[in-house]
Amino acid sequence: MIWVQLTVVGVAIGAIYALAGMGLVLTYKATGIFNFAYGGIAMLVAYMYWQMRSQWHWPLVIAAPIALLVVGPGIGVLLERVVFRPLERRGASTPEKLVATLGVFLLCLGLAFKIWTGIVRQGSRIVSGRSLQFGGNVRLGFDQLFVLVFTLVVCVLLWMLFSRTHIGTEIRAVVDRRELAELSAIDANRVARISWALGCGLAGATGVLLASGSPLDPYHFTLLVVEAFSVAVVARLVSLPVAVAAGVLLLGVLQSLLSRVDFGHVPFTGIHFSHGWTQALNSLKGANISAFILVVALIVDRRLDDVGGGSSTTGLVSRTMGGRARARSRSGWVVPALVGAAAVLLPFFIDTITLPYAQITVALAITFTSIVCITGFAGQITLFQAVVAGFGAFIAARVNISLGVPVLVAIPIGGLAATLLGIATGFPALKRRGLFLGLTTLAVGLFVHSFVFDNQIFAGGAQGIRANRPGLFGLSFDSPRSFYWFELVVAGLMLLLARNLRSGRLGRVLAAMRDSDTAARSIGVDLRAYKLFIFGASSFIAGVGGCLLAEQARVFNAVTGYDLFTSLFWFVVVIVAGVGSIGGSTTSSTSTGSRSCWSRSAPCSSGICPARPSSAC
Amino acid sequence: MTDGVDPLRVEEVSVSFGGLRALDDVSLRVPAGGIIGLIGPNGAGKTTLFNAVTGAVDPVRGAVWLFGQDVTRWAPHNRARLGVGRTFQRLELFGSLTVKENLVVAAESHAGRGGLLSDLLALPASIETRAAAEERATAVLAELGLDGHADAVAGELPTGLSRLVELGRALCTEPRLLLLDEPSSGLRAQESRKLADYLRDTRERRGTSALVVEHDMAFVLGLCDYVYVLDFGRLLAEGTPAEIRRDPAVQAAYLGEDTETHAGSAAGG
Repeated sequence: MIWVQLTVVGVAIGAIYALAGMGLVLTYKATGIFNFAYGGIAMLVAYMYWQMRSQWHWPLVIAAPIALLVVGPGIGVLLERVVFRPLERRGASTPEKLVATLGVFLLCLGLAFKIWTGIVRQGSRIVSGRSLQFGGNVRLGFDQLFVLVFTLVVCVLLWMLFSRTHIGTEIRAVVDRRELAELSAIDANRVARISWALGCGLAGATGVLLASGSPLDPYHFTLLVVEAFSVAVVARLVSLPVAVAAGVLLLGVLQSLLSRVDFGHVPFTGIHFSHGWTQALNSLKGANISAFILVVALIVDRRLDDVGGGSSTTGLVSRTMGGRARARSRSGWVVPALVGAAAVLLPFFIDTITLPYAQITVALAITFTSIVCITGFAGQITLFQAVVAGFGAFIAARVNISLGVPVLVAIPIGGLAATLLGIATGFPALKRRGLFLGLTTLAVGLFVHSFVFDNQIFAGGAQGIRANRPGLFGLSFDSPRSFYWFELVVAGLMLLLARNLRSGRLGRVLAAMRDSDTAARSIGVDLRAYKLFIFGASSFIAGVGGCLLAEQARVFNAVTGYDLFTSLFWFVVVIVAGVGSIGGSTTSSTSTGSRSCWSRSAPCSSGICPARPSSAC
Repeated sequence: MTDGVDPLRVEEVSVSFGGLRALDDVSLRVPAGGIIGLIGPNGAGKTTLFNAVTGAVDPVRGAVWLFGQDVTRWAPHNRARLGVGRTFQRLELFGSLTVKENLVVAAESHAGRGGLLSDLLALPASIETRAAAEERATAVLAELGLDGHADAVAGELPTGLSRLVELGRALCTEPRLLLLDEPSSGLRAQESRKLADYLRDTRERRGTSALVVEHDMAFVLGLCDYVYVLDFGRLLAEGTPAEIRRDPAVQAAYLGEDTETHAGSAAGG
């Protein structure tokens, strides 16, 4: 009977994911914008509802309609008007819009921290917690019943909207053929506004339902977008009925049923895994099942190529950006030389309390350079760079502590491990471009984080793993100054690698690939090799940077950093600072490092959150 | 140049997009040193045939032979390395690179494969390759009269110049077979004539064969030794330019209705 009960629970949760998936797909298909702020908006609406119900004690009949019909859609309309319509008018590229949604996401987080602080609240129930009792101990909660009915009603309403109304037809026309619909007399702004309102309304509904009677904090729905997207991907971004089925069955029921399975021993065989692996496997049962499904679907389903991004270039650097950056790069070595000299002499001018910030800055500069390499030079979007850096740091710390390998040797080993991770991720990405590539990396990042970093036995849990600083021939780089200079030497080497990735034959081929992969193939460029190569090279740089970050803190601690949130944040920072040049990575790391938003505390101290989305524009 | 082996043989190739049959049982050949035309109305399947030859689409039936090798299942870049250069109807320049860099990247790609690590570490071998490639690119730029635009950013060029840059880029891979998709569209009449002369000249000097898709009938019939006519994915006719001019089926299906648009586009260009 427990299984029946679990299925019932799973269906209810799955229905919520289905709603989330539908909302995400709707906005994406109608506007071409993949809304990374989806979870942030869900969180905001859930908080609004909590505020109205638990703080202001408004009655349900007023609070619920306001939250679901006014706040959610209102946020959507506002975003469309203030952020995305101007971007559209400016002819922003897909990745620019993506960065804008990430900016909106950070804004949501910042707002939530500002208004409601980081305290975990108890989300307000939308219906009572009582339940119907059936025979054989199976219970159906009123809230679960409500979710099912609500999902059903939303499905019917959406279906009616699309098949019975004029605006529905217009949206479908835009979804089918964007270019053609724009040529005909369809008011694109109206369609965009309505689909944003619908999408954010569904996001809000998802948030309120998921938070109903559950804990609620600003991070809570950060990765809702991954869950919603795995539903969407299984539905191949087109079919709403499949989205519902996928949400209900795969995410809801499977997750619910798996929660009872102990992966510690393989069924029917009596094999027991060691503790570390047991924990790793069991971690799959949580939210990570969606990441797992996402990775598998993205790798397996080749038909996705037809729906994800056009054949045109989705490279992050628009033509003008690239052109400008290239023109600037010829203008010599004076600025880099001055910056370098200043960096070397810096320890003589600042005190030992400030020096750690400089150390962080240098390490961050390396990791940011890795993002510039892969996204700026090669036009590939990666959203898991912090996880890659963490993986490098993790391996380096492990081989140093467990195997006694000297730190100086452990750092390249960490870099190579990161390279392997990058190549392993790049492999499925060979067929993907733009957005889907970014999402694949996000899913892999989520996977690695929960599989390795969250694992007590692998990564040491909250204490982390000690990360020693290097030494050479009895010369220790342990003191603040000497470690800083050591970092500078490593940074110099990495920048040299990056320079070779940018200029010369490699730089040209990568730029060619970014601008037109069709033409690149036509001149005999093996895209697969170069894509894997840039994934590997950039991951190496990120891994080395991660090692330095860990050594700076003297500990590898995955709980306070190296997560997806940090990855998204790094990505936004680098893009905003200017992805076209190595200088951009230096600039952004300086500003980030000096504010020390990283590594001192949780990666999202509220200080970094109110990054204005407009700065991304 | 291996005489006697056809640079290109397309054998009974069919290509489908969903339910639509874009190419139906099409066969054609480009003999060594031949300049062959491929004409037909919009949507006749000309570009699809190019894509089947370069490997951008997979045929459902039939085979593609390049220089005596069955390449039907080959990856696009490997076909290109056999010595096939291509231009695109919808321009596909490397927009953020300069004109010269567009050519250099092609020459480098032709000159050396692999060497990724050598490039990453900027080893001497890579630097030598680069020098040779720049030399080649400079020579091609001069041949096409593009020297004045060498440092212009490719994405900012007008259409006519862009077509020439695409041709130059293809030439930098030292192709033995050129696939040109509407090379003269966007060119003025005088420039078209120069282009035709240049292609004939390239054949004389290097033995480069070519398959040319064109809308401009005068251009094709004046340039090509032999012409294939596609209509709705099928071969409608083939023959020398003189035969094609006389062919009643071609006149009915294509020439008759296209004379008007052709005149219009000539006036527009």
